[in-house]
Amino acid sequence: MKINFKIIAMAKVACAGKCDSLDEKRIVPKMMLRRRLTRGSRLMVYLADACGFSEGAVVYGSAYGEMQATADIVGAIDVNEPISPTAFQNSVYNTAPSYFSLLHKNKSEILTVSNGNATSRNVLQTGALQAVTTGKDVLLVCCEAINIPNIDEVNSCTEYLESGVALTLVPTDEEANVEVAELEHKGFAPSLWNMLDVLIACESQESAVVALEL
Amino acid sequence: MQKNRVFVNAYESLSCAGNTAELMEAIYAKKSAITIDTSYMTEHKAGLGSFAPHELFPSLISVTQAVLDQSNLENFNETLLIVGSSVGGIGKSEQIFFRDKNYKNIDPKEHAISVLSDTLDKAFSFKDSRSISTACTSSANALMLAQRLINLGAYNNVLIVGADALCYTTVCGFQALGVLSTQECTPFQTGREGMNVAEGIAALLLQSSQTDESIELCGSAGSSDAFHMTNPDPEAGGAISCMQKAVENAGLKITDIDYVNAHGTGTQANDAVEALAVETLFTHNPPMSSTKAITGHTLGAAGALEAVIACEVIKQQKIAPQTALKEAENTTVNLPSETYEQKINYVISNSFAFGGNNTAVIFGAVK
Repeated sequence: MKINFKIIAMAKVACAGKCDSLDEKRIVPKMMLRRRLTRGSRLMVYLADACGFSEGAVVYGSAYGEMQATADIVGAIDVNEPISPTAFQNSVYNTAPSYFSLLHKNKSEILTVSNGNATSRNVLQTGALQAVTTGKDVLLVCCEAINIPNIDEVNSCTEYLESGVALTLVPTDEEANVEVAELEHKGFAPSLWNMLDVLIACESQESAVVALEL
Repeated sequence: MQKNRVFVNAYESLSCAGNTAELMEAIYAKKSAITIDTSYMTEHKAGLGSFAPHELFPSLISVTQAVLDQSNLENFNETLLIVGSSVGGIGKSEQIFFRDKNYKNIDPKEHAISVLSDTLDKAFSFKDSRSISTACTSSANALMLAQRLINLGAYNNVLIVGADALCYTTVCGFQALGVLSTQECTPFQTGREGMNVAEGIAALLLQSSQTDESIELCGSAGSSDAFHMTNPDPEAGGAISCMQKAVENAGLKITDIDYVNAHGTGTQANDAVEALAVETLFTHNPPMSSTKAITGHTLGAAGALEAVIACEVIKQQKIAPQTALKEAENTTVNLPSETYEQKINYVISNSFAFGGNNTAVIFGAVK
């Protein structure tokens, strides 16, 4: 089932290493909260800010989740050291959108998708469903933050070790005016590709309307 | 717009209490299946729920096959798969890292949450697959999405699978948070010690068509606490909100709820807040219990496992008692000490997770 959606805002970020310009001090003024943010959370709040979104349902996606927290936990267990409680609470896949909800006191539904290379396709499908269900704007974010020590032992194809893409959409009765083509986005994790396809297709259109599968 | 109704037409599960029939027997007999374990933390005892000698991946397939065998389908080729998991394949990655002291032999595809949907898709060839990972609400959220997709007519068949296995990260991680119990957990008990981490698999086939054995998935809703990453909102705002919205989504009145299958982990914070939420919202005081006293907390699988329990409670028309309760902390809520028969039309099942992620799902006898 396909339904048409107006793309209200979009943003992306990609860095070969650590993204240094995420404007965290302005976006997250409370130092205690800012200090706890994972890399994925920093990407997420940056992208949400770029989309001007602070209230409403959120669908977040990541194929690999919070890699640094996971590595910290497994590393500590291996050498029989205590696990940081913060690392454990930050290790779940919904960490980034949960920090977003704390930051903005956003009590709306949050869903997190993780389905390998199909992750951003699933985010689009789930986001579309949430937008139809609520009838309101929904924020879709897909991020990968794999910039951890020794990641080259398992990563050979992703150049942008920190990357993310965001879209806000709302259902519309207007006709679709954008064709979305499936492209290869070299350097980006494949888990982001389907959302990058939509972003690229909509970039040149002032009021983009796309048809998305639920 | 007319919404398609959603029917649970087949289900099966595996937990430390065994398959679904064995699980319900244990619940009604108040026999905890938790074992006291030191294999993950040699210096600390922990009550854990293990389904050994069964293993995650073969069991994932056998539980799913059991649902297919019960169903009116010949295969899952026209069925959407939605997996809910918190842990995915991390157990295997841990073992490789502990052995090699590096990541070189870790296959990212086998580490990720998607290893579960990939495994099932390879075995059963689903029409499409998705996977949700919102920690301990993962499979409850999968149920919520499935309901919405069927309501809209986007799919006629959706298989929900909740699955998580025990691993060092979760056992040691909950120990680091100071919330693990050294004994069988005692949900809602005064002075309770904490939770039991456990493993479980549960699969439910949701369809737009009704059978003689159907239970209806009537409503669901989610909310966020926006309060703290691990502690629930002490005023229970998020928990109340998702339960209230689920009741509205089901087109019911608050007083229609006959039994609450609580999230009830056995931690100080969760149980106090959940009891407050139920006390505040359900003033007709329906019976409530946490079956985690039998199964432990199966994390991302819990929503699906407790959905199976909710369906069984409706089919058997018997209230699940609160195992291991001697003295309730909250004396207002109705925590039944024994199994008893009662007319049960509607059951609400709660799931709450890290990040203040809350989901409530309502099941009902078909009318």
